[in-house]
Amino acid sequence: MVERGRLSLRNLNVYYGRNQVLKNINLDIPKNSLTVIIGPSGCGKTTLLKCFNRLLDEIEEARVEGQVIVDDQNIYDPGVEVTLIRKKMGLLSQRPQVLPMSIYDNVAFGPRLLGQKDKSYLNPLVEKYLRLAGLWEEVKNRLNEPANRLSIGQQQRLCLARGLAVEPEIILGDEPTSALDPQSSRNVEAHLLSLKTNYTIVLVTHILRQAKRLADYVAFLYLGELIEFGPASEVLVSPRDPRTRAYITGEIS
Amino acid sequence: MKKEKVRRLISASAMLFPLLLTVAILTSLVLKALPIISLKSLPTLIFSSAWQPQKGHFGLWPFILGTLWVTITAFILAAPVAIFTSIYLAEYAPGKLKKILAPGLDLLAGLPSVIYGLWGILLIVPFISKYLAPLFSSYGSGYSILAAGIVLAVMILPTIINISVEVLNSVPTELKEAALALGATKFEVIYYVAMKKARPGLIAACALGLSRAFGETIAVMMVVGNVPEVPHTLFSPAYPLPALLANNYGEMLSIPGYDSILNFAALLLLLIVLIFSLMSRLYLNRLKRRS
Repeated sequence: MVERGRLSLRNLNVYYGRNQVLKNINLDIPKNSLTVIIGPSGCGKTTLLKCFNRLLDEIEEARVEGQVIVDDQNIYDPGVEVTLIRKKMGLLSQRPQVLPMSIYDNVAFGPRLLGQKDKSYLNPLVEKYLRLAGLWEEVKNRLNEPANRLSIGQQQRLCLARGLAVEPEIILGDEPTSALDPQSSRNVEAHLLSLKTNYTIVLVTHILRQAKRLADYVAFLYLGELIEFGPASEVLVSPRDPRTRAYITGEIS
Repeated sequence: MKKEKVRRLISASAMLFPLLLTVAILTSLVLKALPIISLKSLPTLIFSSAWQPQKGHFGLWPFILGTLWVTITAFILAAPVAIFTSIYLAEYAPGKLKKILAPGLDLLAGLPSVIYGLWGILLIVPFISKYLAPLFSSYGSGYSILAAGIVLAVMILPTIINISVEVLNSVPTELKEAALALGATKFEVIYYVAMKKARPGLIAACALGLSRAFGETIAVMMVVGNVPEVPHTLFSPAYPLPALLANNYGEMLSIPGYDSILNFAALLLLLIVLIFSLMSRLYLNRLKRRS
């Protein structure tokens, strides 16, 4: 039995112009666990992830039908304050996107948007989340340096800290280790694993081994359809659908 | 191997050509300006406001000020409008509108400047003399710094907008998404992230617009009044350096020193533009190094 999560999709359809990229998706993502979305490239993984925090709004030709339910609220309801929805979720992208400002300001960016300017509040907060992302010891003496001087692996952990600093409930990752070297990848993976007790994590990946290392639950997307969803031990070991089996054995990629 | 060398030589000599030309222009200007410099002192030529060539008074100060006033007025009018327009075009405008507006801007950038000048005479000059200036208890012909500034501002708008839009478009979508994902509104993303990332490019765009404004001659000459006096208000007429050169070179060259002072004025204009673009280049480099 899958526990009902805070993040649910109901009859979700997404179109880019006339092209339908997600087809009637129904999915309940269990909370405080790590769900991995796998599937061949072009299957709609990233689009699905962008539905969760409504980044799809930014794509002019994209159209969304159906419901995305976060905390019992359909985030596509008219009248929903989209910035508040996005604050519930941290995002890690394929390449770390540090903001053009200092390390400190990157982490403080979210809290400052909420009007928090008090240094005595921000300082411990920045430290807390840099520690949580495992970056504090490496940067504590150069918090005011531009963030792009960090190595790419450090940048991705900074993005993690920055996302955590808005105190989200959910962490979304779009192949967050794909630009990193193996060492940094392991580091980021380890931090994601340690965070899942307190956060609901949804990760897109095309690396099956990574899915095996991290996932509690696995969703397999193929050509815009959700083919299979369940505990990692079932989907990755003994998939029910032949298409899932074909993907896992490397017949389709 | 030999062919490679020849090719290299050809492109190297092609490079020499514009370089030599620049040096040649500078040298001839300096040589021609030397007589007047040796006759009067440099400070007198630059800072004196007396301009009576027949009597041998050659003070360029009114012209230098005229150039600065007109250019700065145009810049102050154009830069904010251009930046906001490019923000709209790059971030807010729907795709269809962009497709219509971009060629329109290119068209504006390509219009001959005499057309802008004509438009200034027909519209801006009367508007200033009839409506705008009287509001400030100033009564004149309307041929003024403000008229030149407005015409010039419209002329440099497309230049600044075109480059700024390109610069803003080059800010990665993923970066903007990252800021959006933190709960920033669209405007906050533009203000704190996109504009910050694009700042060196936006400054370069403004600098290019500004250097175009410095040198623009015809359109300015048509509406600025061409009175060699130190301007006092925006409604005063002025006489910028390019207009001085275009109006007078080749005439009255029988007046002693006249040919030489005009060459000196040209040299001055060249130096102003050169110093200006050098400064903006240095500033840009510093910005790039910092980020």
